[in-house]
Amino acid sequence: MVWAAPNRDAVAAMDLRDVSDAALVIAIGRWRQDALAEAYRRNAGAAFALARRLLGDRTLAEEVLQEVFLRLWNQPDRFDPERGSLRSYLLAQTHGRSVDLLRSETSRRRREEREVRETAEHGADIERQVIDSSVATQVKDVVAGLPNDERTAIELAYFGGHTYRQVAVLLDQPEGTVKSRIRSGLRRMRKDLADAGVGVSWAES
Amino acid sequence: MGRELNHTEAAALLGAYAVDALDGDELDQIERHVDDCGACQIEVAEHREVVAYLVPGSARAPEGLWDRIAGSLEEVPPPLTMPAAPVIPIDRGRRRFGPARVGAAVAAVAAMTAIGILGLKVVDDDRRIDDLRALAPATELDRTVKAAVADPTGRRIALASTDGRLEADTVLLPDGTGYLVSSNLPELGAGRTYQLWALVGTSKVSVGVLGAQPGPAGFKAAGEAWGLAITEEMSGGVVSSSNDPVVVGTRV
Repeated sequence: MVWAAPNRDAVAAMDLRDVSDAALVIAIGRWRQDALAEAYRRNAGAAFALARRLLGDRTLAEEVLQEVFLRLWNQPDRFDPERGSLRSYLLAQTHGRSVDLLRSETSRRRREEREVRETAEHGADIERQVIDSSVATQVKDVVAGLPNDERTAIELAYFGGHTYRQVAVLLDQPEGTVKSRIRSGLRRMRKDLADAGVGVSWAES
Repeated sequence: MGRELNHTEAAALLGAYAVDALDGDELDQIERHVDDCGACQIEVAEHREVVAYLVPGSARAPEGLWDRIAGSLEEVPPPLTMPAAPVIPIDRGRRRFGPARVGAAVAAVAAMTAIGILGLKVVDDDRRIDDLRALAPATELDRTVKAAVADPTGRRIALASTDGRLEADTVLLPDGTGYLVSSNLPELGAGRTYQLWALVGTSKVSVGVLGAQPGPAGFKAAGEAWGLAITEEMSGGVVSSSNDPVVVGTRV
């Protein structure tokens, strides 16, 4: 007995390029492969960039992406449009899976060698990372306005895939301080982005 | 498993949690807290929205990757099914539950059968999953529910499980306003909630979440609802559900 059957007709006429994240995911929930393709078109580039940055390995990054989009296909209801954009959801999924892989024993050693080298060479470089065509200027300004300590802690945690305790060791700072700086930096960015007209206040009601 | 975090302790970890910078006991502790804390869920989502801006949006995925993903999708999606409606043993049911409960159970079976015939599509009209518990103060809600029950234009919809053991009593007014009057649904564990759905045409429209232990609640059913159903979902509710309804009922 069927509770909810796929219904392609109901959304067949939908122009997927123009639909919201929520409508796109509903279409995915109805097993429309073209809707998943559109979600991929919108978000796969960023997800791949994040996974590759974290893992330093193209093949592993592709595996993560494949896993993330298959999960969206099989469990679209895990995305809640009330909780943010599809982009941030998919990036969070990509980040989480990449970090899981990073923290496996084999890749951890490899990553740590690379990280030590790169940190020594470049330090924090979120500013170089931020490229989003529509809001690039505002985001770069906001990132540039972060206190160095906060920016570095976020950089090492988010793009380095380190725990905050590892970040504390890398920066030779107290764990509690690093933990606080990650949170205060993210909150500061959110406020500054909102002040700059970049909407991240969807959760307020 | 570590001890439970209080909200202040948990909040201090939310930034690190949002960027996957926790592990071990701390990760377990914060996940347990966030599962049950709406404010923390919102803050984590906000942090993740912020860091998403840091990822290059103009990057391109490798050639051929989409083809591999598309090739691995199932050709035929798995059916979203619920168990076949059981035959209700009327005589035994009457002794055990009394006529009203059997009636509700029969109505539930009828509704489930209708769902099966229609092959309901899943929609969520405006993408909101309201927390129905938060819509009105308890005392005011209690008065409103009583008034609705006494309203001669209201239609009672008795929801029941297929075996008649679980029930929920609702009333639906002509303007689409409805109330969950009472239920005997068992309390759910952490991270779970009941979610109410209106059966409208051939669609199942999310009405809102009822929490882990539903009490009286008000709701607005979109369109001309011919029935209501309650499913069990993860906290916060879902946009679409493939879960079997816990209880379901139609307008008499």
